[in-house]
Amino acid sequence: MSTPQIVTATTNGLGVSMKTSNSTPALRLDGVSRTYDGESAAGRAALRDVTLAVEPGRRVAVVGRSGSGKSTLLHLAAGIDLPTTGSVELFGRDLSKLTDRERTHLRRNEIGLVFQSFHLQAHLSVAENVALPDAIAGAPRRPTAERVRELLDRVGLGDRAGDVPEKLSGGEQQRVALCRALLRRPRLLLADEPTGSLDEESGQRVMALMLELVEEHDSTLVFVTHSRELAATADQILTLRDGRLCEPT
Amino acid sequence: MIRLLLQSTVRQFQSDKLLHLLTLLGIALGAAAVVGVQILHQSAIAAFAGSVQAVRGNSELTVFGSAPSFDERVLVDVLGTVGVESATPRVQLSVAVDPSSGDGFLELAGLDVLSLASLPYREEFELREALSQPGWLALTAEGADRLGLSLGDRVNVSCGSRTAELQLSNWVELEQLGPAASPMRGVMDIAALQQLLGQIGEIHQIDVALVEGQEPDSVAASLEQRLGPAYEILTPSQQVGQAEQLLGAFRLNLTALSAVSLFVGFFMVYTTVQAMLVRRRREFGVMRCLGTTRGQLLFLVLGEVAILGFAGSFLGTLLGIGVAQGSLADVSATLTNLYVLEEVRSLALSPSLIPLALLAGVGGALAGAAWPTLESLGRPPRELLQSQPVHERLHRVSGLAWWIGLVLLGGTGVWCLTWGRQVRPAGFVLGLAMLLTIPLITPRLLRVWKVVPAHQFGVLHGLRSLASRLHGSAFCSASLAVSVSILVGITMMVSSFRSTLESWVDSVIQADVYVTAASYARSRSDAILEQSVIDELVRHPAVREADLLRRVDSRIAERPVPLIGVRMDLPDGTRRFPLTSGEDPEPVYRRLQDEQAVLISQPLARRLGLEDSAEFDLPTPEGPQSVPIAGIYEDYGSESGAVAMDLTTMEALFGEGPLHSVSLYLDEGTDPEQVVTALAARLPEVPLEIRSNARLRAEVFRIFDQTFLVTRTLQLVTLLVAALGVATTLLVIAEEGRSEVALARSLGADRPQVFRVFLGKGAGIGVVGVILGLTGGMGLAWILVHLINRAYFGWSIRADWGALFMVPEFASIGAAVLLASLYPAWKASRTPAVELKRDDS
Repeated sequence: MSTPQIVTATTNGLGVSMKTSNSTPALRLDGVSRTYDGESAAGRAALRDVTLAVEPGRRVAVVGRSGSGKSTLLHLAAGIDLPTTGSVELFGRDLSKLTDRERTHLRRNEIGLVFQSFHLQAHLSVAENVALPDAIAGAPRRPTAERVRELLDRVGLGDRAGDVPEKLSGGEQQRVALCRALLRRPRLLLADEPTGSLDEESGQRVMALMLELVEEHDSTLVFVTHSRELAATADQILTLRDGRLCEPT
Repeated sequence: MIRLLLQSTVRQFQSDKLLHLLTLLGIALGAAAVVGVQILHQSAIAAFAGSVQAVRGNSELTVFGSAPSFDERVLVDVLGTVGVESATPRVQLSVAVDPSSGDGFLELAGLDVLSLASLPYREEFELREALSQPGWLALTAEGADRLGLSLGDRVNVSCGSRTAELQLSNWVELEQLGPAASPMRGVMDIAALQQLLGQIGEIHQIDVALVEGQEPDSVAASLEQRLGPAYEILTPSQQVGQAEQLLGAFRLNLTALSAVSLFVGFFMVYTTVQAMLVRRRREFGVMRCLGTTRGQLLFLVLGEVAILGFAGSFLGTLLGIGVAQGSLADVSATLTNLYVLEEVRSLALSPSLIPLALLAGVGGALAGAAWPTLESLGRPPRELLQSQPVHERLHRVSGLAWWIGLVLLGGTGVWCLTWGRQVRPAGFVLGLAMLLTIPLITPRLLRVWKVVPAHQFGVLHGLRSLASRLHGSAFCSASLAVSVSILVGITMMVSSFRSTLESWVDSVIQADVYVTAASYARSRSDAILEQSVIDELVRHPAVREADLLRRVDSRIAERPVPLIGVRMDLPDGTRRFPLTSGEDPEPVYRRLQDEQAVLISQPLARRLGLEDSAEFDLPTPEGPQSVPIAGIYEDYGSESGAVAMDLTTMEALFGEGPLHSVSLYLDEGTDPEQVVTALAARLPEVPLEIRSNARLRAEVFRIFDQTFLVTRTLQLVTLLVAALGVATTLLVIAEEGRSEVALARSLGADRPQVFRVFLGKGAGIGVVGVILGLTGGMGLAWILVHLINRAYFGWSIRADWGALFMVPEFASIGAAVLLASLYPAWKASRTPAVELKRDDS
């Protein structure tokens, strides 16, 4: 788990240099700032001049206080938000240069997302929730069904496939969300406080499962957490403070 | 709390202007339909009351004959009755204005000297001039204006085949006495008007003033005793009451239809309030935690709705006035055609409209908001604070609602067909039960979309998701179904009515050419054809046979009933009065000639319960006389009923009298239109309405279509409200489901996919609404045809189920739903993935 750091992040303002790697990073942010309108004439800066690169196959934890810009970082990485300045590259493709449709398709095929509050669709069964990304992608039905069964069995929910999410515990719901995120074998898994809504035991179980699955799928993982303990499971920890990246640990 | 309410209202409106504007429009349209119909009804009654009021002076009673005119010598008996201070004879006549002098009709009152002198005039009234100047006429200034007449101008008028030249000699300010009365009226000397009518010594009514302190009821009783059963004594309010009674069915039908628009509007309010409650659930939870009572929150929410309702009422009143103004000419034509009432030229706006508009707008809005508000705010604060959407109770009660709906409809249906058969409004009760059943069974029906596989994220996914959001979608589908039911039901009824009318017209309009006086449409039995005119008409070489018609306007059971005398010996004339029994007409027609029997129309038979009677009392100048009933015939000309008999029978019962219409049967191969032209050329000076068979048929259907124009307008309003409801619901679903859409977007759904999901939702709402509406509409058509029409109009209509193929109607519904879905679908598709609720920023 605790392999030497390959991922390197800098905030130019801190004068930390960025180390390079021969392979194309899974995720790369270069001088990224994100400012939201309102509050003041200049707007509110959620991220300031962030530069980082995440090599494929690594597990990266993003930590910081509330309002430090963690979720914004994740949204930018997922291409569901765009930087005010700077560039975000996903597997070598600059997201700002892609159309909304291209970004959507990139997200559909390359990224898996896990949210703190699960965001399962109440009107769909557990299996249908897991199958949703394939439904969106228009994938054939039979292989999807097999994959869904395989994933649910893997997370110990094979017998709950027909239930509605409401009947599941929080930990179970997050496991379903994890299956959904991994359904299309994403190269990058982004998780925003995946254990934030769970008790300690459930949280640890979900986290362990997530790390196992990421390894099985050979995916890159970037996750946001408040927990130092969980962050310690990552190859690299990025700390955000007031939208700026602190020196890497 | 009031300040909080106002702030909150403004904030809510600003938070989603479009949604609130759509809801406001929905409330306003519903209120407009209700207000518009009541304005039209009030205007019709006010016009009639105004005409009663305009020239009655200080009289408190009026004497009418059972026939429109009677001998003026009755005046002596009236004056001799205890309690009568004075009695004024009056001739009341509708005359046709010669097209060269203007167009349309004038209501002329012939008054005696004292009454004439007592009226307000713009110029000084010269009694000698009024009595001595031939054709002296005083018109209202507006009436004169419309005819383009200045003081001293002459105008040609006609009554029957008689014409007269009148001279505008003064302006009478009748609007001071009866402001709502039609301005197309005037006054002249009674003797001059009698001369014009050609019936010297005949009058239409006597206005009676009472000795001070005398009770109108007791004097009326004395007069009735003295004059006998051939006369009717009425107070002005009783006269207006009779007109109201006459319009009862007309008003009830339009009111019911307008109430449906309001009913559909309720659902829109429901949807909007539901959306607001979902959006602010946490806010309310926090307020409850901070000590706000449930009552205070209720006040806040319902207060906001009431403000929206007030605005809707105001806008609805303005729209209602617009609707009424736009429909005035058609309604006026219907009232004059069907009920022979006064023309309605202007709208009567009374203060009573304000509470009505408030009841419709505010009441409707509060009724729509009550349930979701009580249901939501009744939850404990803990539930309100939960971030997960609260599971909808509607899912749990949808099964129960389904059964309640079926039991309600089934129970009412059984009651209607058994014990309720004799209850006149039973059809309306069943119709209401049907319209209430629709929203009750819709939630369960919408759950059928649950079986749709959600494998594809697009239209099918949208359909399936409907089953999980019953609150919004069920009420929207229900409101659409109610509107479609009304649209289908009424269209089928009108279509069935029209096809029944077509076959009836085929039977009764058999002659080649029909001739009446130009004034016949309004002055009916006063529009006499002189014998010389008739002789000239039948003298045309192409005329093979002529049927003659004499009309006596009578009152039976407090409603006007025309008595028709025709030649029952006319060869091949037995189809003119199609018998309801379907029996061989020959023996029936023989009885008409040999036994002085009569035929009664189906509406009259139903109204008086004469279906199985062998005879009935016919009012005659000598009082009621028992006459044998030879048969009952189909008639769609008058909902009050009619009586037909042979001319000789009429002469025996009513004495000799003038004729009113001639029907000419031409030699085979003759072109009727050429004969029409030739007859008009033969009698150029006589104001006649000469119509070929084809033209008369066309006229019948023009009047028929005109009668249902207002109904059509109200139908469209209802459909418009329903379409707004679809748009509102989808906007609400888009608003409520922002995080769901954002999730889909973050999982890789592109905008066209989200757009298709929302089109699917619109389609799902539309399909259930239309199928349910079609079913309900067929039921409603059956109720209208077999129960309501029969009970209120006495007509038998043969249901024409071919009207189900109403392609334009369904196309318009489909287009309305599609259009209503487009914007919400587009708006939802613009939802960015970043809208996904942030757990942490």
